[in-house]
Amino acid sequence: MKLSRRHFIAAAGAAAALPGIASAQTFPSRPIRFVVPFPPGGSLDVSARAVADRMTVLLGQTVVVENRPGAGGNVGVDLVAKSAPDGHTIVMGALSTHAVNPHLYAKMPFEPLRDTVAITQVGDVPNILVVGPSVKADTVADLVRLIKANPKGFNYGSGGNGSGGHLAGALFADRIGVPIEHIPYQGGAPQLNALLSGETQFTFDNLANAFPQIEAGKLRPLAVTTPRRSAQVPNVPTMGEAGIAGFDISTWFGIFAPAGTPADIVQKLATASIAALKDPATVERLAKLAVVPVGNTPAEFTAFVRAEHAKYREIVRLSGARVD
Amino acid sequence: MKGRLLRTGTLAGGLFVLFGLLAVTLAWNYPAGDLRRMGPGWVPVALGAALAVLGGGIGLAGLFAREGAALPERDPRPLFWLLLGVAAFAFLLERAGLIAAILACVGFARLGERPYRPVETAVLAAFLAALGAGIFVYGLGLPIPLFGR
Amino acid sequence: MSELFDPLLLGFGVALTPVNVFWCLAGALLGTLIGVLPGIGPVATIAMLLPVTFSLEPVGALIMLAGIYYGAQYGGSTTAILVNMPGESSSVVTCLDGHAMARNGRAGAALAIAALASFFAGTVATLVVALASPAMVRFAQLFQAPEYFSLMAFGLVAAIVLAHGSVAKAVAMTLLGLVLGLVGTDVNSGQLRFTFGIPELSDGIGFVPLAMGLFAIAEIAVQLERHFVRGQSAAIEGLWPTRAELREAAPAAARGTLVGSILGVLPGGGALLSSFAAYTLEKKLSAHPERFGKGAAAGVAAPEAANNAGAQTSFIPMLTLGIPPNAVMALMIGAMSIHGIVPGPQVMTREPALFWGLIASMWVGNLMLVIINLPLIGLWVSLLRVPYRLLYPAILVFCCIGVYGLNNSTFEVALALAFGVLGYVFVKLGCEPAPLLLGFILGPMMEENLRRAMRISRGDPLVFVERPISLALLVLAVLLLVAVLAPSVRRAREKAFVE
Repeated sequence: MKLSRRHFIAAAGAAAALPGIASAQTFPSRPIRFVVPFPPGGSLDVSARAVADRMTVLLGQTVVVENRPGAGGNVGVDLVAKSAPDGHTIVMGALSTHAVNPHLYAKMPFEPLRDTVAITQVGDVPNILVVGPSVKADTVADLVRLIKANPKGFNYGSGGNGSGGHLAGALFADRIGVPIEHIPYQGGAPQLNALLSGETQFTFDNLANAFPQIEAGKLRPLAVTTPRRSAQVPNVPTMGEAGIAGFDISTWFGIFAPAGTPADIVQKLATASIAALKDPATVERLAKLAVVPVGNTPAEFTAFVRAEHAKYREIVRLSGARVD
Repeated sequence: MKGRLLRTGTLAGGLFVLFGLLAVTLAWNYPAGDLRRMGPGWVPVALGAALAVLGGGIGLAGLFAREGAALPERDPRPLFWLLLGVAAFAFLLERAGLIAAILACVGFARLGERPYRPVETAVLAAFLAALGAGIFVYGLGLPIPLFGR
Repeated sequence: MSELFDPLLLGFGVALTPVNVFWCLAGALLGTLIGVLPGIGPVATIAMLLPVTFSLEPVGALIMLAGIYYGAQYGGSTTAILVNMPGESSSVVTCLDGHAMARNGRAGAALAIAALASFFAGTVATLVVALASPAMVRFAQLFQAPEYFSLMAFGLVAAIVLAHGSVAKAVAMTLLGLVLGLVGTDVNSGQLRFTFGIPELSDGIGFVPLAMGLFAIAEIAVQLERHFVRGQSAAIEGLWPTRAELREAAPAAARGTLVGSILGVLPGGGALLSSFAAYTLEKKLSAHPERFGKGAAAGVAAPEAANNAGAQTSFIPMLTLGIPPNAVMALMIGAMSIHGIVPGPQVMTREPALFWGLIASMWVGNLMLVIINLPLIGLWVSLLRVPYRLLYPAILVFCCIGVYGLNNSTFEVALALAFGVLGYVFVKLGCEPAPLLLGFILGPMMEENLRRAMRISRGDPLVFVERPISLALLVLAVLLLVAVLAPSVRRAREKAFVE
């Protein structure tokens, strides 16, 4: 247990600063830093701000959102993992930082399951398979037939190596048994542009990003990648219904605190954030971003993160994506 | 010969060769790939090599030309104090807060100025610290700690 | 005609309500005041001021943000002209002749030309946005990986034109910039390049720390070294442009507007390239190219007009498709989502008041900018009278805060420090930093698109010449290269003959 010394010192420091026992009675004693490990403006960032606003009211201390982008979210999570475990520094972890990056990056500055504790899952954004205007496919079966007839004429774009779109595409190619060329872009916007201009033929985008184009009839949705249909696009079948089994990829995110945070403080943060996610105004703000609010307990979220971590080991290997 | 070595052309060329070779060395082990799937090593090696060759040409031209611009007068002391100021800012900002970081930054940076005016420096540092705190922390609400976390 | 002007009337009806005029004015003023701080460019300014707009109505918030954007951009040009510090990539070019004019005592004239050229460009480009958005989007969608590669190649040749000294050194600096641009995670393969195991470097070197090091820190060091004491810069000769300067600037502004309007609509590199391209065009068209870099009025008017026109037309992909072409627009989209507006192709039909109000307010914002800034020129210029020993610590402190504030990263401040050393060395060796910065910006996009194009063509390099736009751009690049190299080759030959 090499790391425990660091946490011990941090915990001891926190305990010394607050005479008696640092506990839920005195927490929070000062503003809470809510680190978002991505640039401002994305749906994760906007959700964090919505939740932070409500938590501020519930906890009686300001929850300040602070963007710390870098290295696929690793920079921001690492910062929090190494902060004092007193509940005053929390982070919005995500599929990428807690389930994908550990298998993707040759060198991780932290170990997500060991160095952070899960508080609650904030939201879930389904991914959706969409085809560009030039592809004459109305169903997944159509698309598979077209690809099998002419595998060279198909590329799928994604927001980057190891992004949710890349992994879903690799899984799709594996399931239909045809290798398809992956074209990575710098984030969600340019890859959507490429799909619209016909540079790529299909993509697994998150619903928030693709929905306006679907609504405007510019992109055709074929299937959602979750086990259940999405309320936002109720007519679009799931991948399972479309004949491709075992497909469950969605972009999720939730709140984490440094490992070693006392259980009663974790509980207090969980209570506040779960209540924030039940607030109608927050729910409405998230719905506009195609985010499905979750708000589960710390135990449930921990089990979920462990399962995702295990699941993505195989998917990342399939995709061949690596950062080293 | 020493005069020729201290020409801007010779030195600049040498610097470019250095950077070029460094890029080639570091990028040598990145996969090169093939024409269809160009690897991450191809472009940096090509650019580094081009930089080294061009730098060599600039350096040799500087060395053997009949005349060339000599390295101008230089006094690195102001630069040193400026850098120390920036370093102090970076080191102190998250440890001791914005106020201490600005005070130290101004304190060191002003050492690059002769004669050193301690009173003026103190007043200026205090003024800038108040201004920085007022604009960025109070005005814009940036998440920068005023006095450390 | 009425279907053309009815929406605009609706827009002006929204934009000219007293409340929205107020937000527009407030945004432009705040943007100017924050943007004029050295080291704080438009992206940082908008990110900092974004929360201020949270409490407003959606229309008012977006109008205010647009005002902040124009204000920050003009504020950045002010810093570029006065103290030779580009807060963002597109004001690198403004530094060249703008600061040269300031050194000649014509700071006021340079600021006025920048303001007027920007206003003209803003007016024209707003009309382009209102009338030609769908056509512009179709044009932008003609650009795929091969076209982007060729456009970047053309831009790199233009980088060499920026230099007014040795062409060989300018090429070498461009190459060095290209290499620096490669630092970070390779988009195509996920390989980390030149990162030395530092996680902060895995997203590459930021433009702001690079520019702050090469320009701000190096410039201050050199000035202090010269024992720069009070009032050493040339006496200030009048605040307003002379008739001759205006005559030189007007056509340059018109051409810059055209270049900027077209290039601004292209995602990523477009808006950046426009100011470089406009400058190159003017230098090539001018009867006195040797005056460029030494304070040519056209060298200020063209890039400023292009810059501002590009800033307007870069709204087109965002407004019509909901796809942000650059970091600033990504923030605007974030702001829309915060206000519960889903950006996308439907915004125009679903929220016509917001859509046309925003467009109308673009023009109002540009008007505000002129109204705010023409009277402020006197104030900015008088800043130059502040003794340098008081000014430089302030510049340094704001640069540090600006660099930190972008990503809340002290690492980036340390990075600026390292580039400060490099910048100082370059000054001493007579190497100009502007081509390096252009290479730095264009390099990664060029490589990305080269490899993407090869991947999509399955390894066939002919894609670059088979596609007409790509071919045309490559031919233009070659022609420009010949035009750049010919004079220096001729000079060398003439020299040889004399000997």
